[in-house]
Amino acid sequence: MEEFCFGQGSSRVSVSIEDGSLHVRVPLVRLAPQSLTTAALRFVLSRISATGQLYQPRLRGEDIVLEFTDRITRLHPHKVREVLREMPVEADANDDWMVTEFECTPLGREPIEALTEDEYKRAQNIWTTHWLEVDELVKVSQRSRSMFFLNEITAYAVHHIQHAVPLTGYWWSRISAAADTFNDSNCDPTTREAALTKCAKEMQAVSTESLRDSLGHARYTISPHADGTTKVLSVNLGSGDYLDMVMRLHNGGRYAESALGLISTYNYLLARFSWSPEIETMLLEGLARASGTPWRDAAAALLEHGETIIAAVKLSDAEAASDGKAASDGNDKAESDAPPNSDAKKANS
Amino acid sequence: MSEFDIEALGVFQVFTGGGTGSGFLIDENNLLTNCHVVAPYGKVAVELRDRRRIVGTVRRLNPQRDLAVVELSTPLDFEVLPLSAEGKVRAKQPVSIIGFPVGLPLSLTEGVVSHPHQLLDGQHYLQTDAAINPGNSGGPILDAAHQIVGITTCKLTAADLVGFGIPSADAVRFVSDYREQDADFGVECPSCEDLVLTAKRYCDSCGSNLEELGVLEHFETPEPHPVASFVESALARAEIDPVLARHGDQNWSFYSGSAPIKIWCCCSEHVCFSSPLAQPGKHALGDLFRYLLSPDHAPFSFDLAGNIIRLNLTVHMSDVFASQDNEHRDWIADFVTRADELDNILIDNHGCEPAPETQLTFLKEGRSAQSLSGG
Repeated sequence: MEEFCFGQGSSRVSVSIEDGSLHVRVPLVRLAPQSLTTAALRFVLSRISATGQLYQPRLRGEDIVLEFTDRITRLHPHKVREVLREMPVEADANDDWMVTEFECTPLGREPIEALTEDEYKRAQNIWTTHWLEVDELVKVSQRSRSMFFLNEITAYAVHHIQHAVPLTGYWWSRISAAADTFNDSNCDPTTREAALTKCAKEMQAVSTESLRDSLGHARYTISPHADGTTKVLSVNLGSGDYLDMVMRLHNGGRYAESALGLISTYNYLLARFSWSPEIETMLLEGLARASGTPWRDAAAALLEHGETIIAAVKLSDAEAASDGKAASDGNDKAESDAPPNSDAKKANS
Repeated sequence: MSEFDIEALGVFQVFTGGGTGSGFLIDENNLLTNCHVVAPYGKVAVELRDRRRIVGTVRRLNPQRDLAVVELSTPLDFEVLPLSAEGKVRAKQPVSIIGFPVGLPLSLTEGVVSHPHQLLDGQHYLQTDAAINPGNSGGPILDAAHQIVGITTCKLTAADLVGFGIPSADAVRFVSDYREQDADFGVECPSCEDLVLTAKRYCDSCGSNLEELGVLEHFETPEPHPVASFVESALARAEIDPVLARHGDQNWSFYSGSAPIKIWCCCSEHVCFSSPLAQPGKHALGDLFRYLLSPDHAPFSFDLAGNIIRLNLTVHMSDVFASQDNEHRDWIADFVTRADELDNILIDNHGCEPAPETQLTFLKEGRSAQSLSGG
């Protein structure tokens, strides 16, 4: 039996082939004599086992392991990618929680590189500022009674911290658990605001040492994020229902909502997707332009900046299509054959 | 309106691969419903009060008046509500709508007749303000004397409390014609209402173009979606009649003995199989949870949804489209069998309680006791 392992954040993924089947395993935790065993097992059955996922947690002796097995003849690239991407993310999201909450023992963990002192101070500063901001924004939401504003703060609370701070451990799990309520649009607004306020206060009270334990540079062999695509950018920053709503708010003088919506969207794109360095730089540049400016100016800057991004990706796609056509035709006049993209040029100028 | 027991009424939920609706007995062997509830299916499922389902065969359709007659595989001994032959109703007259709104159990809503002969798209309807929801289609609209004065058919989605029923006089004529005819299956011509028995382009009687009027499609069996083909071929291996399992588009629900089985596409990537089996007892749950997480259950797994223990299986869409793959179909057949066994194991060996949806009647006897649903 051949087995190879690779790291995904704090998780170690083992892949082996045996009897014509592919076996993928990600160890989660070990139940120890001092563990709250029944609570830990209930947590696994309630939060990690589920319909609609190809891998499942299993108990082997006292070890809780995420497992996937399938015949090699049935392996489809989409299936393998889903399993290899999602299993370690699931383990990553739950192992520290189970160690802290249920006193389980870590199992098969990959080392997380600690932050330097300078990096830590910067992360701590972002952390403190972020949760103070969120606390203040909840009060604005309570005054404005705007569902749009509430939806955007709750998204911002998670996505900004996810992309701006290298958070890996217990506190990320804790934020995710709170987000189950404050990001649930089926919940009533008062419950969501209360859950977000409680979370913001809890995060402000996190001790220096505890925060340090949850920070670090995790290494990923396979990106844990979905691929950033032109379609994703178009849906979020291009013309459509969402941007129409933002524009309506902006044109109606509701600048706090339009600006927060766009800031939240930029953070969402950075937190949830893998981008080319060019697009990532552009997204960060947009946030930098909006930073420290009044709501009205921030919204105007991001609306303009979003158009620039969309124009740039359209131009890039057109060039790629043109290159592809030239290559397939065996034609070396790719540049002169490329159709002019007047919209993109206008936006870029 | 006086009190009456709606559970005793011959009003039942109708299931197809397109959705669900309501229907009511016109005699012990036949059910009247809407054409849009049953079309384009030749066979439908009718669910009884004890959740068993029987097969119904579509015998007559009138797409213009949105009526259908379904012949049941088993006679049913329930109250047959009389169809009001005259269908005389007046504005402000109280009416009740009976059916299965949004898939809920048999329910009644009340209102009044808003207009007795409202003209809509060239046809007359009984307009009411009684609440009509998806799933009510094909159910009866009753007057205070519990006579059927209309058959629920549609509502205006852009307005509040504007619902429509087909006048009972039209249903009386449709049922009367059906009883006088011998043909197994036929569609009434939308123009002249003569019975069309075979797929032909023009009506023998009035010369209307039946293809343009959408009659021919009722003689064709639609090509099933690959997901439906996969699931239903697997169910056939488990000796489950797919007609009895259909519950709307790419959804299936049925009982395997005492265990409810639900099948759905949760996204573009997975087909999910799940069976809510039991609820944990109150004490010493560690051993139960260890049992549920045992690798021995693979390829199946358990989870806890709230306090309900569910048996699950997830199939990737790439396996659905792998036509030569029979192992997954075997897994599905095994899933259906195991679900019926496992609720007993959880209750007998692990101190669990039945789940709210468990069919207690068949808890011990298992699938062999479900003879009615094999019809």
